[in-house]
Amino acid sequence: MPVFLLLLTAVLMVPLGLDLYVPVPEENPLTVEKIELGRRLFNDRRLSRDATIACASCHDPERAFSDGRVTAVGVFGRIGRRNAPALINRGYGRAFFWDARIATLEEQVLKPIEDPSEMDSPADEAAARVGLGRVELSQVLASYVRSILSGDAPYDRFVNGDRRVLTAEQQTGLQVFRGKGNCTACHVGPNFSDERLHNTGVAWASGAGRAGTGFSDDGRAIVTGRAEDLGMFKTPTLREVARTSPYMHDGSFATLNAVVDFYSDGGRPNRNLDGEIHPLHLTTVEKQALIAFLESLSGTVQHGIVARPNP
Amino acid sequence: MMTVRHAGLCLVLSVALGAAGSAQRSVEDDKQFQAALHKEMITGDLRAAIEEYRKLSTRQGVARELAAISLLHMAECYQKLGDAQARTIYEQLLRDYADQAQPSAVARTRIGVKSAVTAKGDRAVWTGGDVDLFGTVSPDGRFLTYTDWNLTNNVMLRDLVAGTSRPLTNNTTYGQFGYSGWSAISKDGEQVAFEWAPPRNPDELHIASLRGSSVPSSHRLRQFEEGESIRPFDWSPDGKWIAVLIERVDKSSLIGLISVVDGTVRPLKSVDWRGVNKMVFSPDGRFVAYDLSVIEPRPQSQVLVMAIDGSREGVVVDDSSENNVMGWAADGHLVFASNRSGTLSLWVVPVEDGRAAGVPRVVKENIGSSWSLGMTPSGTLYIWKRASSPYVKIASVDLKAGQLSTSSADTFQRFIESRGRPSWSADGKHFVYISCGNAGGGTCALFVRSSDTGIVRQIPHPLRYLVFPRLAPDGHAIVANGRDGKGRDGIYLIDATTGATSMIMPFDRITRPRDPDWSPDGRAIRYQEIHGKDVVILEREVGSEKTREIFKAPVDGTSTRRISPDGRLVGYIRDEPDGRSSTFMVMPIDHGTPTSVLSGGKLGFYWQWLPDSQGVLVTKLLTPDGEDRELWIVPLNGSPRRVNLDMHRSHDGGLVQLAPDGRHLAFVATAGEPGAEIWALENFLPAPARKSQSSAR
Repeated sequence: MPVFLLLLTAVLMVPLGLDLYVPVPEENPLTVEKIELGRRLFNDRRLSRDATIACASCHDPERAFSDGRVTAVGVFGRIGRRNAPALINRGYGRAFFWDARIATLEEQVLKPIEDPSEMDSPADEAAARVGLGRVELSQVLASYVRSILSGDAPYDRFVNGDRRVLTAEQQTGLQVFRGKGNCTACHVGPNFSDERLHNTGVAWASGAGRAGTGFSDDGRAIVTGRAEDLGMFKTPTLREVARTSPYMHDGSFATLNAVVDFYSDGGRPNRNLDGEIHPLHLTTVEKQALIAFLESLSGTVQHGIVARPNP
Repeated sequence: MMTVRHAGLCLVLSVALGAAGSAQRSVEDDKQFQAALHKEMITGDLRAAIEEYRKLSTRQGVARELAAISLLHMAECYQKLGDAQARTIYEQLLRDYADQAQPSAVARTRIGVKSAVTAKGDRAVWTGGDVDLFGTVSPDGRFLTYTDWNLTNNVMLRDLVAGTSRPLTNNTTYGQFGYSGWSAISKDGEQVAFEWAPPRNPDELHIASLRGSSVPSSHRLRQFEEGESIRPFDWSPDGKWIAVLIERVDKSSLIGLISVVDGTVRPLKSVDWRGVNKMVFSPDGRFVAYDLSVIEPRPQSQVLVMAIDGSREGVVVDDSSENNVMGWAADGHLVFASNRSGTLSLWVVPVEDGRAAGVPRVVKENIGSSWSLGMTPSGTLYIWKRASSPYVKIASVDLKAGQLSTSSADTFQRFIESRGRPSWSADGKHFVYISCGNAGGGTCALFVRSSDTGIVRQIPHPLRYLVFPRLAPDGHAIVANGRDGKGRDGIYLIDATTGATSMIMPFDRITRPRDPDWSPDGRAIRYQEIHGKDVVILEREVGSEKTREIFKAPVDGTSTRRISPDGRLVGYIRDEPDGRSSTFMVMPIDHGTPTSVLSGGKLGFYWQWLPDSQGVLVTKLLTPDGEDRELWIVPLNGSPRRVNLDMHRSHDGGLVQLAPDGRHLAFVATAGEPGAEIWALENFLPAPARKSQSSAR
C-alpha cells in the first residue's frame, strides 16, 4: 500500500485515511511560502513575552505536537489550566480549544501568543518582532498548522484492505471500539472526533468548582454562560493517542489504561453527564484489546512541505 | 420531505387539540374537520366537503389555524372542480390569514400558478407497483434503472418507451445471489454501476454493460468493509469516476469518487452522520454538487460544490430552507428543489467555475415532494413522486362474513407521506403509526391516536428512522426497531408520553434482533434472533438485561415467527424454493411439528393472528409485483374466506392491522391512485439554457 494516497492541492500531500478536502479560507490560500514561514515561526521563541517559549514548546513535533505535561507551562513558569492538545489534523477542525470558543484556525493561532498563561505577548507586538503584521502572522501560522497531518496508520491500511496489518488483538479492539465500547458515539470519522462538546464527568468535582458549580473547570459554560454546558469539552482526536499522554482536558489521566477504565465505569456521573456515557462493563481482555487498537492509530505525522513520493 | 399541506394539518391539529381551556371545542372542531376531510378524500364529494370547510372556517371561536387550513382545503376542492371560485378563496386566505404562514404560502403559490404536473412538457412516463427511486435515467431518457423490491431484489432496467423491464442481475428468488439497492447509469448510457451485497458478505460496487438483452455479467469494482455501505450517485462525463456516498462502519459518511479503472476511493469529504441526498457531476466533470443537512434533524440543507481534486469547496445555495440537488444542466445551471417559498419548487442557480454566478430563481413552482432520477443533456429532468397522499383508515369489519364496512370508516391524515405501519395496543384503546419521508425514508414521525377521543398525539423522539412500532398493552411505551441520529440500529424503547428513548438491544448482523413486541403482561419485550440455523424468540425484561428463550425452531424458509395471543402456537409463512409460492405454517410453541394451514399462491409479507388465536389474517399476492392483493381470513379449522377490502396497489405493502376487538381494521389508503410515478419535466430551464440544449443535441 502506498504511504500517500492522494494529493490535495499543489501544496499538500494528504496521507492515507484523511479527507482530500481540507477547508482553507479563500482569503488565506495555502502556499509553499506561507507554510514554510509558518513552520519557522512555529518554532520561534521571539513570539513569547520573554522570548523563551515557542508554539513548539507545547506542541512538540516529536510528541505528535503535544508536550507530555499535565497542563501547559508558559512564560515565567506559569502553569496553565488545561492540557496542551495534540495539534494534528486541525485543518479539518470546526471548533478550536477544549471549550470550542474559537471558530477558525486563523483566530486560534494568535490566542496562545496572547494568553498570559502561555506566551503572554500582544499579537501585534509578537508579529512586529518577526517582521510581520498581525494578520500575516495568523495566516502563516494557520497555514503551517493545516499542514500538520497524521494518517497512514496501521488502522488506515487495515480499512483500506490490508487485513494483516492489525493484530488479532487490535482487530478485537476495533470491534470493541465500534460496538460495546460505544467509542464511535463521539470519536467518529477519519479524525476520530465529532468536533462537538460532551460532558463525560472528568471535570466533575462535587462542589469543588468555582462559584459552587461543582466543576473544577466549567468548560463550555465559560463561553456560553449556560448551566447545561457546565463540564462540557470538545472531543479530541484519537490519532496518535498512544503518543500524546497524559489525557483529558486537564491531563488528569496518565495512561490509556486509566482512560479506558474511566469510560468502562461510566464516566463520572453528574447532572450534565452526556447520554452516551454509561457503564460499559468491559472485561480485562476487552480493555487490553481496545488499548492495542488505539495504538494502531499512530501513523505518519507530517508537517510543513512534504516531498512527493516518486511515482 | 414533508409537504406544507401536511405541515399545515399538523399545525392545525396540534393547535386545535392542544389548548386545554377549549379542549372540548377543539375536539368538536377537529371532528368537523375530519368529516370534511373524509368527504374530500374518501367519498370524493367535493361540494359537500366545501360546505363543511365553509362552516368550519366561519364558525365563531374556531382557531385561526384551523380556519385557515379549512379555507385552503376549500380552495383546493374548488380547484379540483375546475371552479374559478378557488382563486377567490385563496385570495381570502391571503387577505384574512396572512399570519398563518404555511397555508398562506401555499395559497400564494397556487394563485396563478399551474400545477407542475399539468404544465406543458410534463409527462408521466411510468406508473406502477415496481416504480422506485433507487436508479437513474439514461442520457437519452429512454431507460431507467431501478430495484425489484417485490420478487427478486434484482437491479432492473426499464425501457420507458417500450414499457418493458429486464433484469441486470441474476436472482431468481429474492436475494438469491445478492441484494441490490442504488444504481446509476453512465453518461454514455453504456454501463450501470450498482450496489450489490452477496448473502452474508459486505457491500460491493459492481459495473455491468447495458448492451444486449440478456442478463449481463458484472464485475466487482470494489468490496467494502463489513458494515460499510455504498451508494453510487453519478458518473463523470468521461466515465472515469463514479460519485458515491460511503457509509462507514462507524455510521459516519464519506463523499468520494471511485475510480472506474481500479476501484480506488478518492475520499473527498467526511460528513459525520448526516449523509447527502444527491450528488451530481458538473457538465465539464470538474466539480460535484451535493446537498447536506445543516443540522440534524432539522430540515435545513445547503447545496455545495466541490472540485473533484478536493482543492476547494463552496456553498452555492444557502438559506434557512430545505434545498436538494436535482441535476446540473448542460449550460451550467444547477437545478435544485427548495421549499423556501412555502412549497417545494424547482429552482436554478447559475454556476461558473464551481461558484454561484447569480441568484437562485424559481423555474417551476409546486412540484410536490419528489426525488430526482437524473437529468438528460437535453435538459429533461426525471423525477419520482407519489401518485397521491396516503392517510390512515380504520374500518369496521365482520370477520365471520368477511365484510368490510367502509361507510363507517374513520379516517385521518397526520403527515403520512409514506409507511404508516399501524398497530393497536392490546387493550385497543390506542393506536400507533409512523409517518416517514415521501420516499419511505427520512425522519419518521411517531403518532399515537386515542380510540376513545380520536385525538392524534405526536410523540417526540430522537430516532431518525423506525419501523413497526408496537404499543405496550397499556399504551405507556412503544418498542420498535429503529436507527438513531448517529446511525445506530437496534431495538428502542420509547416513552409514549415524553418520547424519552433508550436502546435496549443493538443490532447485530449475525443474530439480527428484530420484530420486537410486548409480552401480554407488558413486563417484557419479545424479539427474534437468528442463532445459526434456528430462529429463536427471546423475552427480555424491561428495565433489566434478564433474557430467556421462549421458542426455538429451524429457520424453514423464513425467520419471522409470531406467537398466538393465547401463547400456545407459533405461525409463520414459509417461502417455497420456487420463489412463487408460499405456505402458511403453524406449530405448537413447545416444539411440535409444523403443519400447513394454507398453501398455493404467494402470500404477502404481513400477517396477523386473529384475537381468538383460531386463525390468521393474511394477504395473497395476485400479481408478482404485489400490485394486486387480497385479504383473507384463514381459520385454523375451516375454510378460508376473503375480506372485501380493495387492496389494489395498496399502500404500505398491504399491511392491515386488526384491532383486539376483532371488529376494526386499520390500514393506510390513498385518496387517488396509489403507488408512485416517474415524471419527465421539460422546458423549465431559463431561455439561454434551452438554446445551449439545442446545440447539445
